[in-house]
Amino acid sequence: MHEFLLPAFLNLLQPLNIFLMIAGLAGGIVVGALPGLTATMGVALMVPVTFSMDPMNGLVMLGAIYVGAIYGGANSAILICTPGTPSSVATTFDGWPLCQAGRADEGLYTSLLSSSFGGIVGSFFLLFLAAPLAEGALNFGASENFWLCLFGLSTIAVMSADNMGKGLVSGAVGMLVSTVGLDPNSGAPRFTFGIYEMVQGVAVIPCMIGLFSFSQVLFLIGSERQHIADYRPRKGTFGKIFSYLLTKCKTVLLRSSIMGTLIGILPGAGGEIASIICYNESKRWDKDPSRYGKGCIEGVASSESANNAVIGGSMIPMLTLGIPGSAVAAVLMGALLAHGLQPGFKIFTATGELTYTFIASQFAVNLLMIPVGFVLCKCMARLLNLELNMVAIGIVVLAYIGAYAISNSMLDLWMVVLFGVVGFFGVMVGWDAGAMALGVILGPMIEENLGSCLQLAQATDGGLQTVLAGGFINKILIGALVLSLLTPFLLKWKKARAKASEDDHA
Amino acid sequence: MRKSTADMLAGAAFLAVALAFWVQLDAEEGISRIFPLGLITFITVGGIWFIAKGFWRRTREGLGDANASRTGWKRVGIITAASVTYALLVPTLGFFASTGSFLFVTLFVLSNQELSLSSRGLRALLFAVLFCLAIWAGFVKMLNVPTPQGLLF
Amino acid sequence: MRMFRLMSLFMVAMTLTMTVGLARAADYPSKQINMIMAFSAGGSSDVQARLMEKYWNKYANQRWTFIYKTGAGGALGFAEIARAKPDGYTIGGLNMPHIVLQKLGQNAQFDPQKSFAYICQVVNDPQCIAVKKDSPFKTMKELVDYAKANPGKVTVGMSGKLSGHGLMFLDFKKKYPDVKFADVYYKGAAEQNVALLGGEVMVIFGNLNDVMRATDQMRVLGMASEKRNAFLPDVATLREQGYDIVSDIRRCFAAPAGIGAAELKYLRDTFRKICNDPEYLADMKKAGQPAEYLDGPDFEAYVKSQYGKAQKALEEAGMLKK
Repeated sequence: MHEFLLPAFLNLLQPLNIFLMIAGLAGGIVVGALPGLTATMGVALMVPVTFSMDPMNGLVMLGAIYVGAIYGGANSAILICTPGTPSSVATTFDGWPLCQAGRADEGLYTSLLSSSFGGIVGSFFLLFLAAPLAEGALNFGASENFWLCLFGLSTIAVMSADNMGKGLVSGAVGMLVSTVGLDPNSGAPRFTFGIYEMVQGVAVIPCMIGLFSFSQVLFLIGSERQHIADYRPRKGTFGKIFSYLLTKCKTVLLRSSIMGTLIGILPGAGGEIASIICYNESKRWDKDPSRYGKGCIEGVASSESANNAVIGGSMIPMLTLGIPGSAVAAVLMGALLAHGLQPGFKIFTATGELTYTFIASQFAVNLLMIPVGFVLCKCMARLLNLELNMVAIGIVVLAYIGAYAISNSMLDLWMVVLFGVVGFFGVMVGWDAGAMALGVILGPMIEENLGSCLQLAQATDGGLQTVLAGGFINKILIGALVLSLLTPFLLKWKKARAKASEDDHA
Repeated sequence: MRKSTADMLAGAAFLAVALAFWVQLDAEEGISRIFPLGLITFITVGGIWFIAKGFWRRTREGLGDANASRTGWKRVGIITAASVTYALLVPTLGFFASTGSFLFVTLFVLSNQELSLSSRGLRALLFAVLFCLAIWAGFVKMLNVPTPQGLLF
Repeated sequence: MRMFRLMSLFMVAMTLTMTVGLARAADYPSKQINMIMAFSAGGSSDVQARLMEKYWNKYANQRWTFIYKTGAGGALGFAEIARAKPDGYTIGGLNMPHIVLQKLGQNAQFDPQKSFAYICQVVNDPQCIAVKKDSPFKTMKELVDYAKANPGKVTVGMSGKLSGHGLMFLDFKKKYPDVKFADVYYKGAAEQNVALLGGEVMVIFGNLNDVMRATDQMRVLGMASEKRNAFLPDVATLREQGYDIVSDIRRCFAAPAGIGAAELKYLRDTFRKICNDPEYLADMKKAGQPAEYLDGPDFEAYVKSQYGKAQKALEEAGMLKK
């Protein structure tokens, strides 16, 4: 490894590489910030462009786009409450209240600095611990994934603590919606409501664009305001946020980044799950969970550091085992293969210089992101000065483009409208859009893994019970699940005790 | 909206979703049946629970409990109708023709009524043209993002 | 007089359309060709098509525009190719046995025997039977003997019931009914490989393309192909070892049925030139794509024969969709 590190860093100093990193970051941030265009699409669109490049330059650029796009999603999440990429859904929970309170600049700087921090932590794991972590990820089979997904779902209980019932049922609705399309077990179509095109199922991205972006358009238009929010940037905010993150937020940042990396390693679970889980964990372990959802810096920091940490994590199994840890990593793997690089443990030796240049570029990109993102987020904050109508109508067009571009399907446009209306009216009567989105993402994974467990059970002594509850990791996950479900009651108890002791003092 | 009304509507909507999927459930078997069936049952129970809760709440809340958030229903109706029409027009008119008309008409109708007709029209026209150009240059030319095809441009 | 005028007008119109038609065929292609991909950008099918595009530009003057119509395991994209105008300006990539299974098991909106004019086959990715490196099974025979002695205890990981793997499993079950494997299905190759390497299943039926990347951690017991493959020349075929199983995933390009003969000939000729280009073959090898050329008519015959076989297999397994 050491023999490759020096040449790798020297490679990065080439002017072309520096230019490609900055260009990739800037492009990625813009693509990520546009509601509808996701990181996956941003990288996929640029893969053919790299075919005419040297493999090293191409990969460095694609990596920069990936990092930029995942961070970029936070900008629109904070400024207009529409996550630019599915990974920044959790950023809206606290970023939007910050913006409405006129503190958009605090949210923007928090997301920039925590994204960079999370990205560096993820790259650190990628550089030093890729092999053991990849081996560890192999222990996550069907039953472990099943419990992990249930654990993810259980965070609904924390997410909507005062509205838990509706949150849980909304999550179930999301899962039910996700069963539309091809049945993962038999491969036959189901719940297509007589429309053949529905075999494509309810794709996660159009559904999320609808639930979060389109419904937000309806909300903004209905609010009859002239502008989205007041924007009062103050001098010195950047430095203030920087020191706040380093002092009060360091536990939240470190925990979210490590958890994000680990979730990224698992195939199937990507940034959209990591950010929600890490947000909820930060909320769960906070001294005063009720701050969350009202514009709390820690909320933005945990979601954004987690989703950028996923990047490094998702590349670990992709490089070492040829198993991509996220949708974007899958596209990157296609690019690697097209350039004639074979993933596997050999990639660190046979083509070591290239591989280490790529990993080193991830560190450089995350550092370069601070100045590049700083300039761009200042420009994007101008959006708040535009007339609200224009922004809202513009989002509709972008949402349509984004939904259509995923699979060239008009049906996805209708999904956006449908889920937009569901999201708008649903939220009015207390449905939980976040829980529903989580259900749509996790539903297929739960069903597939449960199906595999049932099939495995037939060949195992002890049947389903042994498959599901046997093994060390399963037991830990079940424990975590039970704890997670008990949290709301623990919180209530804690509150009651705090109140009691207050009464004592009084 | 009063809290009891919200509960009842939420419950009714849950029931409607469960019913729609239940009707389609016939052909499935095995895990492909158990999983959705379990969800449908859960949602049905939840739906009934919230309707009941709504009625229970109705008996003990006063009229004053309505939480007052103002919503410009007319404007919400306009943007929804416009978006649906827009989606309908895309396959026939083509993406850019329909996008342009959508942007122009919607902004014209929604913009500040105090402005004069001609200035509203001019603003909307300028916005529509610039936005379409930006999308065409940025998405179609630079990024090669596919846009829906129609008869016209 | 009026009649004559009408007649002459008609004649002129006829000649015009004919010359236009001829001219069109002669300078085909005269604009960009749409290439419909049923799998997402950056995937294995896409990488192969992109390599092909590089050499297409060497032999033809019009470029390809890629259209990704993904979803439902490719069925939507395949249907899009079938529905396209057969003017030679829309073609796309198809996968076997996907197109056959989707028609038989999922009511797909195309008919592999009627909807397509096949250009040629470009990839033949045979299926392998692989175990983890530290597995006690060293040969096919040891695996089969163990499965016979312990019926239902040997877990086999596959990706999808309605897939090439599923079809191979049905075939195996029918030919060797006393070897009882327990079938476990995963979402895709990634999940399947994790399951094998993590010890959740003992054996996988996997594509060569996915297996050969992990040869440091897997042992390939046999390959379900007619002859040994250049990527893993030391691995014996299942036939050599006495098991009559041949199963593979093939990728081809096709135009919608009804395309003009001249256009089809042009496409077939150009694709043949690409497939025989040594540089293209070297690129394919580097990208780990098992190239195998088969011309259009031969591939069509192959599809027809496989259609009948698959129909029978699915009918016996009760998986046919009416």
